[in-house]
Amino acid sequence: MDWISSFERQPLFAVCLTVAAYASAEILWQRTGKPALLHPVLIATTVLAGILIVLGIAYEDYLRQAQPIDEALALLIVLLAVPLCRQFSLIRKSGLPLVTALVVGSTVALGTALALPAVMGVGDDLVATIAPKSATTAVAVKVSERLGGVAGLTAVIVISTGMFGGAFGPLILELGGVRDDRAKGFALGVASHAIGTARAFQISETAGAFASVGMILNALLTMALAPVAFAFITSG
Amino acid sequence: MTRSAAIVLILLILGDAIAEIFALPIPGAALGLAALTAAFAIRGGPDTGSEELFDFAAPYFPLFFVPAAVGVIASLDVLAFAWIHVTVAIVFGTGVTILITGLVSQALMRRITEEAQA
Repeated sequence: MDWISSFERQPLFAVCLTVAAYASAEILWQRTGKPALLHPVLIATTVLAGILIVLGIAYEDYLRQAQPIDEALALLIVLLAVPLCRQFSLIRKSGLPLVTALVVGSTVALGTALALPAVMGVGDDLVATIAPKSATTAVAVKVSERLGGVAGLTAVIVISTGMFGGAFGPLILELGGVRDDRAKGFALGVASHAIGTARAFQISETAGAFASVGMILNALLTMALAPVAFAFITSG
Repeated sequence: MTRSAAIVLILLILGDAIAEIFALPIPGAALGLAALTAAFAIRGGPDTGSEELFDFAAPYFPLFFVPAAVGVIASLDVLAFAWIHVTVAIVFGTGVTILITGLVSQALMRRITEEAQA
């Protein structure tokens, strides 16, 4: 089957495969009414994983070609300065309470993610993989890589975290007696990043704005706290 | 927009180089983000070019995670061993985080609303 490898050798083969898989997944997602369980990243990932396995392409070979897409992620993190500055007045107005809630939320996110691995004493790579799970995917993947985690697994865990928060978060908040839209949004943003934020915008504009703030601030704090938590657990 | 793209690229490469030279545990992109945020704060907001660049890129954000996520096939052995940790972290961890963050921020923000009204 020589003709297949003629396709695989093209420098943009993996980029083409990735964009096409994502575009199809997005169309499916939009046609089905955007359910959390059919999140396009999850579907595109599953489809691509299947294609790589069927064609017998090693992940390293795929990643070498798809590198430009992966690297662009870091550029997008730098650009997060734009939404951060847009929400600046909101952050300043809610100031200290918001920052306090952020520190509590971010610590709880790290603590609950790492409680079981810490108690059971798993490998350092697994701790690094799970630690940044509540941060937005771009940030979480970079934090995981930096600490020696398995970036691919981190990405899937982060997206699943978002899906869980988006699907069950509003119910949990309801049962817990959280009525304030600002608090609902902030909690969804801190715990389940962009997917939670998208869900918060369905609650109200206020919830969405606070979710955006929560997501961005938690991404920043996770970059600072995850290495500390990691050092604490892996040394003990 | 091209000027902003150039600035973002320069900040990223500077950040990555600094993170590498000083063996920092945080990603270089975080340093770039901090520098750009500081610059925006000084000039009183983002410039039009950066805003355009962000608004252009934002809808495609999730696409950029895909190559990293596909990496899960290279770590199926880890997942087979760690699935219980992963599941507990996602379900228990996320649930508790949402509840506590929601309750704490509600309690704290109720106070500022009352102060504003008083």
